Amino acid sequence: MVLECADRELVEGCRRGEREAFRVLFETYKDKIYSIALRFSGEEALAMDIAQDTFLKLYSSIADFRGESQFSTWVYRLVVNSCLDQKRKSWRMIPMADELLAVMRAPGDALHAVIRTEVSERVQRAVEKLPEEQRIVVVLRYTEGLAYEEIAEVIGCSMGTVASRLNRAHRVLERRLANLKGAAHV
Amino acid sequence: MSDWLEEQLSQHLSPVKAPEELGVRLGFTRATRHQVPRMMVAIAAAIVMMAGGLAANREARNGEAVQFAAADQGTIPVRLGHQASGVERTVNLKVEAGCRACHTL
Repeated sequence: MVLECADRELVEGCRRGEREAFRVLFETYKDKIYSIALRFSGEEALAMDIAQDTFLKLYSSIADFRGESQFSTWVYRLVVNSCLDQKRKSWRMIPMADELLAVMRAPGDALHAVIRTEVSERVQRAVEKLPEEQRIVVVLRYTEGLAYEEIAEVIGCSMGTVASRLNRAHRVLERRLANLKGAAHV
Repeated sequence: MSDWLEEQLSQHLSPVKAPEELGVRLGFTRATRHQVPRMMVAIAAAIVMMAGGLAANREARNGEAVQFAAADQGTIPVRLGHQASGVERTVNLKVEAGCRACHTL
């Protein structure tokens, strides 16, 4: 069994309906699940919905977990499915104009913070525009730091497919974010 | 892929902390209410009471002033303490000398 001892006890506790086990599970995975949801959706409110949905699925289907994979992989699979299930579209803020960005390249600590926030938002928006199958791979890779093999297991495809999607995503992002190269080094 | 992009993605897609609201939604955390310091409440209550007291005092003084002015003109009934209860009479501007012992009209 791949399941680690702590996870196994936790899962058993949840299966018995122990509230404390559910709470520990929540504390253990809340940041991971919310981070993936936020980086995938780019919207806090939506990320909350996705995270909530993931936990509800987790609690309701934990009896189905057979321990054939790592528990964390199973949890990642749930959150990925919740992310892909969300259909809500929302209005996005138009990125700041390049001219304004150029003005903000002027020295100053406060400006650095503003520019950093802007760069961060640009990166996030660029990731959001990726096709879902590329976006989820990018999020799992850079938000959770999963290896290609783990990503392949989570989304149920080959390592070659993961590498290919990441490669395509990188090329698109490189092109879309090219104009940030100066600003990012302020 | 360039190192620059790798660095940007790692930096700007980093994990974040889940908001407390998530725990509240799932019933693991109690919603925290905004705690107003008790001292602030006590001070606010004291200020309100003092303001109320001052206002009431001012009103009473105004009432007295009006009453005295009217009494000076002999237009309102004034109940005098040394008279029998329930007996009222209209006093004139010149109050009897005997009244001065106990009243300062």
